[in-house]
Amino acid sequence: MIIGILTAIGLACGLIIYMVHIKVPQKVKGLEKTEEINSILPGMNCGACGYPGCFGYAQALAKDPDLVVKTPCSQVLQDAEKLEQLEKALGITLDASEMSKKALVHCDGNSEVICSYSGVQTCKAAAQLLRGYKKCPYACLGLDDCVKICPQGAISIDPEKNVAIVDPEECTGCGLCVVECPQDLIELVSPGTKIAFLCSYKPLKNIPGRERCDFGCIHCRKCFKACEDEAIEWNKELAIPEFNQEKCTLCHKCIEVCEQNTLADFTKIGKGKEAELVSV
Amino acid sequence: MGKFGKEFAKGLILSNPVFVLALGLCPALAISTSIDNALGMTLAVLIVLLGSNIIIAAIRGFVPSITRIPIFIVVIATLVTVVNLIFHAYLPDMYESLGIFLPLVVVNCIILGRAEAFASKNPILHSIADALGITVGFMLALLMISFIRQILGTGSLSVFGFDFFTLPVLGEHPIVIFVLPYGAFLIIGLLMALFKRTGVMKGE
Repeated sequence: MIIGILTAIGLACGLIIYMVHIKVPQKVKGLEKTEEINSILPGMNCGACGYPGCFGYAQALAKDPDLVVKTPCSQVLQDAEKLEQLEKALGITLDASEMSKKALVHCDGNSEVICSYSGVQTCKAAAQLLRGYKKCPYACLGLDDCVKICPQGAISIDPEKNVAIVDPEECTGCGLCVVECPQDLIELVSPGTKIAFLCSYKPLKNIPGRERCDFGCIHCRKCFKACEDEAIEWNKELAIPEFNQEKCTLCHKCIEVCEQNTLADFTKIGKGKEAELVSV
Repeated sequence: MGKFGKEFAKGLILSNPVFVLALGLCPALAISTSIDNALGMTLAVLIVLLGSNIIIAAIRGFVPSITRIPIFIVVIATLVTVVNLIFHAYLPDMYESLGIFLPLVVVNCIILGRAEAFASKNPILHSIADALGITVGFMLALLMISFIRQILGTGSLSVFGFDFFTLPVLGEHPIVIFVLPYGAFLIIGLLMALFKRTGVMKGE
């Protein structure tokens, strides 16, 4: 008796839900665009765009299409076909080569090891102890944190210099390594960058007993003086050179004149790494 | 005043669900950040409470008392699902801003409380009056809380896109605490104390 009544009411309620379900329009107004954008996105919910998953990103894009320029989906940028679909869905044109940024590690490695570290083998743990075990308090510790977080496998540790190197061809510019690095060494730069500055030593944040390594920028301004194209500006606050991509003609004069080898040709970074790895 | 009017009026003040019975505080806290949300929530509660009171009053004769709670829950869950589908289809903005609190109406104590305490013992007509009265009482409470929270928390008053006013100082430096849940607790507590003190609302 009781079971009968429960079953009957349950069935009746199920029927009501079914009736409403078939009456109500399935394609919701205002959500059509979101769903169209969502179908283009990769759907792996990596969260690198800063939104809660691909659907959250699609909702934000449906409201404000210009957002795609500020926080682009690095996965879509890699895929020309999907990019075209997204352009059509949003009704704007995108310049993929300008938007897809690349990660650059601002350290040339080689900094002297001043004590032996045998703790937990992650950069984060090592950086907690007086900013690492190297002479320079800003040095790349080379304990694989960024290598592990990179979904593309674009980062490797140079065994000779003990520094992380990003392969620009593999890098999708997702920015996960930028957040991961406890030394704040990694920066997303435009793919059109010509000269890379491989040091992050800042004289302003001097830590007693720790000093710049023998391989970092000594703030000599030689590069600034050597440049004939006026492409280098001197940042007086941080005492480091800043490069103007448009004026730079890649004459390599600044690289030649730098005694510390802190400057490198950005376009050759990935290839140089491969050559070194082969020789090792 | 007939029995219908009496049952209706009772929900407004004497057994106001939020201030006197202190039921349904979860949506009252979470939803009362703006008047829009308060009205949307009231609409959802109206449909569900009216429907559940009518259905439960109608089937009260042959529902064995031992299984009444699962049956009430099934009825309420059905109505909430229906409301969910309707909101999703016709009021997508409201659906988005109510978020999880729309499906959570299924465990709203006001609805199960009225089903258990009133509709299962009274005829359909009185149950309708009770549902309407309780919903209006709920709406008044939500409007009061959300009015204060919106003004203090955002410094301006706007309902469904119409901007009424923006306060000079508060508009630039809103008191953010009132948008957060503990601000709602503060407001509810102060209003409750005020009504008790002035004797407008006395506990049953």
